[in-house]
Amino acid sequence: MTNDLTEFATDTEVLFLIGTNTSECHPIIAMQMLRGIERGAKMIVIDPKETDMAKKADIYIQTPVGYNIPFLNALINHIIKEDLFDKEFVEKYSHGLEYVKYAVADFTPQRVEKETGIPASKVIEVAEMYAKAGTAAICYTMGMTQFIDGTSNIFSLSNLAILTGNLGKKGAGVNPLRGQNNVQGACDMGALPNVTAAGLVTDEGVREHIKSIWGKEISSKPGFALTKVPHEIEEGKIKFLYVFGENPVMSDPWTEHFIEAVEHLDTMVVQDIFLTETAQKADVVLPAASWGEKDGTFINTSRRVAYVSKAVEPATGIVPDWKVICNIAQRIGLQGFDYYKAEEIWDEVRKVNPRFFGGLSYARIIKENGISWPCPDETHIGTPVLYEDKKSMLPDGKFKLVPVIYADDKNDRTKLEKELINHLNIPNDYPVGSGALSEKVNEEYPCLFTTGRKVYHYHTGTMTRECKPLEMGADIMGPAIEVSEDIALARKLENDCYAIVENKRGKIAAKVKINPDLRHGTIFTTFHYAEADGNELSNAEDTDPLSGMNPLKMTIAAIRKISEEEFIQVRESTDMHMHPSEQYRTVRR
Amino acid sequence: MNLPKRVNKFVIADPNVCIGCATCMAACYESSHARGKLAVPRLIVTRSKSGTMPNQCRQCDDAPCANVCPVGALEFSNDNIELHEEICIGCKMCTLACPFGAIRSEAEIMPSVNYTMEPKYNLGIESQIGAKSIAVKCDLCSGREEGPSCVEVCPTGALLFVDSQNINYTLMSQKAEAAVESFVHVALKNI
Amino acid sequence: MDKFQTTCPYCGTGCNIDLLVKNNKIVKAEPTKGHHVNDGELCLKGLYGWEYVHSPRRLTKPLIRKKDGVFSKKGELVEVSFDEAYDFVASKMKKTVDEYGSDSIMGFSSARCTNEDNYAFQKLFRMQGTNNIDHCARL
Repeated sequence: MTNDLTEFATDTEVLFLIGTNTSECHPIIAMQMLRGIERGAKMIVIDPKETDMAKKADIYIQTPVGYNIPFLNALINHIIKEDLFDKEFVEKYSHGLEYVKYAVADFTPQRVEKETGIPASKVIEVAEMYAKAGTAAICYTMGMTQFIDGTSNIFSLSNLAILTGNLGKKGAGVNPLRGQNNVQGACDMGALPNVTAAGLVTDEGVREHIKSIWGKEISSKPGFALTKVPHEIEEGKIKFLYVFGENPVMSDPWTEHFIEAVEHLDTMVVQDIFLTETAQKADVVLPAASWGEKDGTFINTSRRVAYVSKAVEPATGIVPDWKVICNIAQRIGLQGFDYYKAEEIWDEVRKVNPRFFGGLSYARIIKENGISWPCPDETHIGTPVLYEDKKSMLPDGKFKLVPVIYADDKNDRTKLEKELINHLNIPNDYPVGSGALSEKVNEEYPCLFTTGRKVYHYHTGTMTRECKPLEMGADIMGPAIEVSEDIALARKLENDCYAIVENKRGKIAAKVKINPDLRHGTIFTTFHYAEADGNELSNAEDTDPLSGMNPLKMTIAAIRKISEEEFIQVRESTDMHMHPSEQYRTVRR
Repeated sequence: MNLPKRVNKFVIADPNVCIGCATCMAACYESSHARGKLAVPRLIVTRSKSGTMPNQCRQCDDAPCANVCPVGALEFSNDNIELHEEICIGCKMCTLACPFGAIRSEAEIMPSVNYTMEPKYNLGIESQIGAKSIAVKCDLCSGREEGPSCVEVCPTGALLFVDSQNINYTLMSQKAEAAVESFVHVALKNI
Repeated sequence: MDKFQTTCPYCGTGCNIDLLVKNNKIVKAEPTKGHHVNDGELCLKGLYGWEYVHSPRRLTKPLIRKKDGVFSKKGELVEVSFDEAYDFVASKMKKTVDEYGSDSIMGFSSARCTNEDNYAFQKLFRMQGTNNIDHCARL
């Protein structure tokens, strides 16, 4: 996030929520937003599902799954055409206006109306409300990023923010609401194939700097992205896989393919706190201490480094994850893994990236209840709002407006991008984005299929399904396939009947819930339950060309009603007996 | 007639601020469990086309559930409708009578049963596997010193514990005053 | 009863929780009063999502897939000592790097673990000459 999440309560005038079910996935952020609304802030929600936030919104627009770029381009089109953009900000601090102007020229609000049935007047209303606000904050989550044009979606959002000067001030910004407690931290620590804690692996300066601390040269070749791993294993390029604190069997797309792939490995090591679905496939399982049993730091979505305290002693022999890793590193014979406590590792991180973490000692983090990076020295108060000097992190300090086009056929994307580059003489190093649908509904698979979370569970349920107030208290629904009203009507589905959803990758069977909040033609399910995991069907073949992201939020599927007997059959045939807590699985009502 | 007045206390949600986060349901489970009651949530976050809020017993003064209960398991108590789980025979008449859908029958799962396969045991009422169903409804966390736990945990303050004090003074009088104020304001000018 | 202020392990909001501990068991979680992020409020996962720490299903011993007492892909997961497991992973990792090169090993790090864990994990891989490390930021 460019801004601090509490600014939604105190400063934001217009909240622009797109592709986020904030009240279910981030209830406390939703609480801060509600405080803002009570103060008088307006809210725009754009989502295929009419979420609780949508029902509270001043304007709600129900877009089809994956229809983001044409919609956002239409907003930009209107903002430019009506001269609603912040001319001073755009002229002084950015470049690329003429590119964007050209790219959005065809995307009129009327086109959106023609393609989706969303009234053009509503699109215009959204554009004006956002552009005319003094401070407007864009918030998004995986409903924007988990597509084959995820990066381009975000380009479009940053275009909106740059055009309207909504950067570098309180209550504004582009704010990805991070889904995991420390996804920000894992990125900042360099748990990425192309980035270290100090910067890009391709940067010689970065490698030199790391060598000066580690005493060893690191590779300059970026590694494999996670989404490419099943393929690389099948190609025989990866022989040893070490999974730590993650459950890819359930969280990665196309479960069946992933499981097949890992069988080709020489060795698969899983380090976790439970015998997860992934751990059950492993060759070696290493236990480790969980949250509450170890010290450390998390970085939240507002880049706030916060302390995690050890509260209880783990079982005999169980040590924190970093210690397990050090034990292994030392046995391999690697130097520099003789840490005595977590704080020593953190102090090394501060040396590796002094610009961000230099001033963040454990003592200070604890005393001040967390501080947002960048915080270069002990006297610096932290940076809750990025870009207050109106300078981007790019070498020339300017923000880039990125032209984003849309292709009707996903195979035309590169061609159209090239045409745009040639037509406008865009320099080679200037980014260009494009959108397209990864799959389109057809006769065989006539429904759009999307996945998401429910408030009472978390991701693959490894932790939350072990907590009775969540599993048996708040979760009264269990695994369910939610369908829009028209799908239910056409297939004679009723609430609580059984149905099977399938496509070429897999199938899941569960109870049906008719959800009038879904856009017509849409099926929604979660990925919390091993017995009916939405990711069995997710698309793993297509990826975003820039980030390597799979379109987890969008695929196509067919659904039909089945009898109770058939349901049991399907469950028994697909049941991988993955979740250990199934033994005490509660009865669903 | 000068009968002593009986005003029941109840918990109600404000759909304007409810975000449907179900924290109240988990708290309800926890409170029931801690007080040795059947460990199930007694309020259900209900999503409707126009909004979301938890639905629970309104503790009606002349409660149809208590009137219909054949064994007196539901009883007119001091300031609420009390449910005696131990006498309930699981006839479900109260479920039919309740105008709010706020009383339902539930049965606790048994640790000895393997529930792996739905829907074999997925019957809502689990008489088939030997567990007796009983009525479940909000009991205002009776026995809990701090009062209803849902009200305590709600992050947006959407749940309100209404008693005779705030129903008369806070809620009614304030609104009445505001209404009179606005009428007088207009009337003095125009009538 | 001891009180420990910590940060919630679920979503990215970063709410602060006061954990109340008695006899080495967490007994209650309370929202940290007046904290910048969550201002004395918590959602259900923060309040009640800690029971898993004491779950009887937690792993307490390392497991290696063995058949007739030796490592085999076709075997069953059996309990082994910590030393055996660490030695085994280290030797396998080293052997894979020696045999197939640095880029034949891959690590999935975790957005659910602390910065320190993640830093140590990427260092383990980068020190062996590969950048094959990623985590679920994409998922």
